[in-house]
Amino acid sequence: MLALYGLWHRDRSKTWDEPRWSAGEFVPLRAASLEGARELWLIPVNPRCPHCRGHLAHAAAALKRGAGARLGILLVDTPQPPAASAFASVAVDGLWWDARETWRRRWGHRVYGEVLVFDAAGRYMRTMPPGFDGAVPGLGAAP
Amino acid sequence: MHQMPLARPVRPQSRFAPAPSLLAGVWLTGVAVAWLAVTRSQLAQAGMDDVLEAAGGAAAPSLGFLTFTSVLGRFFALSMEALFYSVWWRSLGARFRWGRFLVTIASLSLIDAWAETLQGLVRDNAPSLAAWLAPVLGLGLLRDRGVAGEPAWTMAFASLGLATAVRVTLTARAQAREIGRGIGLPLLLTAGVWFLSRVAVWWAMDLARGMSPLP
Repeated sequence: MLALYGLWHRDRSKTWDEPRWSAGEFVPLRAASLEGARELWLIPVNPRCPHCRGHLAHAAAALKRGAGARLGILLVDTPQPPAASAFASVAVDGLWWDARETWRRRWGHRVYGEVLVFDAAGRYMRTMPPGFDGAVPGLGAAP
Repeated sequence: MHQMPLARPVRPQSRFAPAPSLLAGVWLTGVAVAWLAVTRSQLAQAGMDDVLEAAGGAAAPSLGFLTFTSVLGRFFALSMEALFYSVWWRSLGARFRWGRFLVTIASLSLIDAWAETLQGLVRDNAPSLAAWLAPVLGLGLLRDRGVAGEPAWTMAFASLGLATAVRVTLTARAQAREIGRGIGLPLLLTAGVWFLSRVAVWWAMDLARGMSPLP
């Protein structure tokens, strides 16, 4: 219990960077123009995670593209990005590889399939958990 | 003088004779089946069937496999709990029957199954009753599913309620019966173990999620 407390206390007292969308921070694998977008929904996906595609499909269904939001995948916790063909069939606006492990090491996030929402200027707005339910702020109800 | 033949020594009855052990096995199988049904329903309510279906591919486990491993994990945890109490009381010189106690706490776990099933029913069919039933079924009933920003401790202590209090008390009573003492010390031990296990779950959840919101 003491060891667990030590780990927990160190982790919770660490100062993490607030997420911020900056295209230069990540390696683009599929070109995506965010021009004119009101929001970017960025979903961290581990290529080996069997549930991630399900969470991706859920977020894609919840997202109303007409509302000006774009959907992007951030490939995390992978030393090499998978072949572009691996995500060719997934209907997203952009695909990036987190080569510097920003999502885990600087932002302190750890749950695959969550949805990080940024505004048009790249400012962090909120994070929704995987398989989120209920109303999506500004976009209405999730399926 | 005629000597009376010695009566055949009475063989002490086995603490876990074949017939009771068979009955215990059948009963434990019934408890496992009940947990399989509850766990499958919970995973479906959490949308795991949709997620797994959307995930597709050979790498995605089936809902049945997830349910089975979850119940297997629960029974492993129950075995460890019984082993812990057994080692604790035996180290203090008390007699303690691990197998019999395992059957008891597995049976008492059905209180949790009942409370969790009712929680799901109340959430889906009578949300207006949630605030009234939360003190009985668990304070987790006050929390909406899938809401971001909930602290991990609210999930760790979601089972806090009358149902859990009854289970903890009956677990302590079973120990008191095993060791042939009053319920005071067993109750203190069981409540302490329950509290520490919840705190450990809280910290472990925080470590697993980092800054991410809980699903």
